[in-house]
Amino acid sequence: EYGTHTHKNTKMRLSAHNVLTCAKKSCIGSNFPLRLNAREVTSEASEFDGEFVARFLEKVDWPALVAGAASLNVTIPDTLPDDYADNEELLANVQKVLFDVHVIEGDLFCPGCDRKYNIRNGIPNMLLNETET
Amino acid sequence: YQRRVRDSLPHNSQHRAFCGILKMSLAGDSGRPEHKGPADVVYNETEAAKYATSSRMVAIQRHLAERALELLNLPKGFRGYIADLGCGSGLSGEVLSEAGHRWLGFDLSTAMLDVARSENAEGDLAVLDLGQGLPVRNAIFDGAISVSALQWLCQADNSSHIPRRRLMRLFQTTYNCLRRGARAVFQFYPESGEHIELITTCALRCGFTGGLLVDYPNSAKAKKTYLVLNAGHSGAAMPKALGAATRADVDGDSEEPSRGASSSSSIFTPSSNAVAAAAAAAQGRPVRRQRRGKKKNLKNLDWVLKKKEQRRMRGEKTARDSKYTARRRTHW
Repeated sequence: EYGTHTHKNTKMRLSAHNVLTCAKKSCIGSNFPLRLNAREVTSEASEFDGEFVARFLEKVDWPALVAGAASLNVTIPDTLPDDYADNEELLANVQKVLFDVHVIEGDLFCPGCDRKYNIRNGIPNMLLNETET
Repeated sequence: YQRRVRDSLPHNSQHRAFCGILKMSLAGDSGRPEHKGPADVVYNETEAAKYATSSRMVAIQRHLAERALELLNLPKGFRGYIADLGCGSGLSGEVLSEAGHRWLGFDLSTAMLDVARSENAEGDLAVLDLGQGLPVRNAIFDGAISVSALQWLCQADNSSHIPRRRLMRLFQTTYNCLRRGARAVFQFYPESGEHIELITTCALRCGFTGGLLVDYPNSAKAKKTYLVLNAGHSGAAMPKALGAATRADVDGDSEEPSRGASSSSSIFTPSSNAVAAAAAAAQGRPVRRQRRGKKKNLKNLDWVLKKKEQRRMRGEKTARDSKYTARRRTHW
């Protein structure tokens, strides 16, 4: 499904995509979620930690996760069921989507100002230039 | 003419790199890398590689990160989502990963981040100037650590950098993206009492409570400074510093002066006197006792009359007493 890549270490997970906003102060109110355009993706399995995933889900923005996953051609349920903490299978799948999929090359776009943040070598560049700060 | 030339200069990365290298070659070695230029220019590929391979550097940064993580005071066995501010080559992140945390690291130097990548750093990384503020949603992180990064924000690397504004932006966004009750710990190298005051004032203004903690305050070599900030009252007390005689924390409301050498933990209060006291205590200087209320008028009429009488008794020529004696002069 995902191309295996020599960059074993590259990591920009959907967990990061779920918390990153546009860096410009003027975009507040319309700075999230960033639109994700992925050109190169990989996956790396990690040990299942249901407790951690359940706690992370307390702060996850589910619609943003749905949109981010969709950008990577991954489908997840439209809504998060209330009893997610007890559903191990769901937690395991959510962990894969949040932490095991990595974007190597791509772009992020602010929904408010359309500013592009590039992702190179698994690292998004959120640095603003002097005129933007 | 001068202003037009400055505006027409390209503000691209090549120009910044050129200026940085020029500045670095002209500057003497003060022992403070932040004086040489911005972090991404100082930590270019060569420096970044040196940083990662120097076993002494690695050991120091690891130790600082371990202490900063300890000061986060997370429950035993708790695995959380931590922010690493100024994560550099991933040394501090490795400490977080070993403790079971997931983390999101920010650094200005792509060269340092590339080293982190090649060293298999487990966290997510992003290029960012901390002085811009953290581009993160509210109430996300269970904690934040920063190792040897904050002093960089006190430098103005170009004409548009105002340290106070950058510090405020960092502290405000850090406060916002921490969960209620979470902590941020910044280990840094304070250059002066003024820097400490600037930093602590900015942190206070953003809603943080907490204080400055200095381990081994009496050793110039071992001394390490940590800014311990609570986002919303966590209920936990200020941690104990290492290597100092235990003296109760400086309280800005107390009349008792603290002996600088033994006190190494100071709590914030909004009073500016307390901030100055904290800065002094952190540097090992004795803290001046703060005077409450108006200063007494020592040279009042009774005192003057008494002194004049003493002079007369000694046989010295003394002006006669009149209604003008010891009266407040309006001009001399």
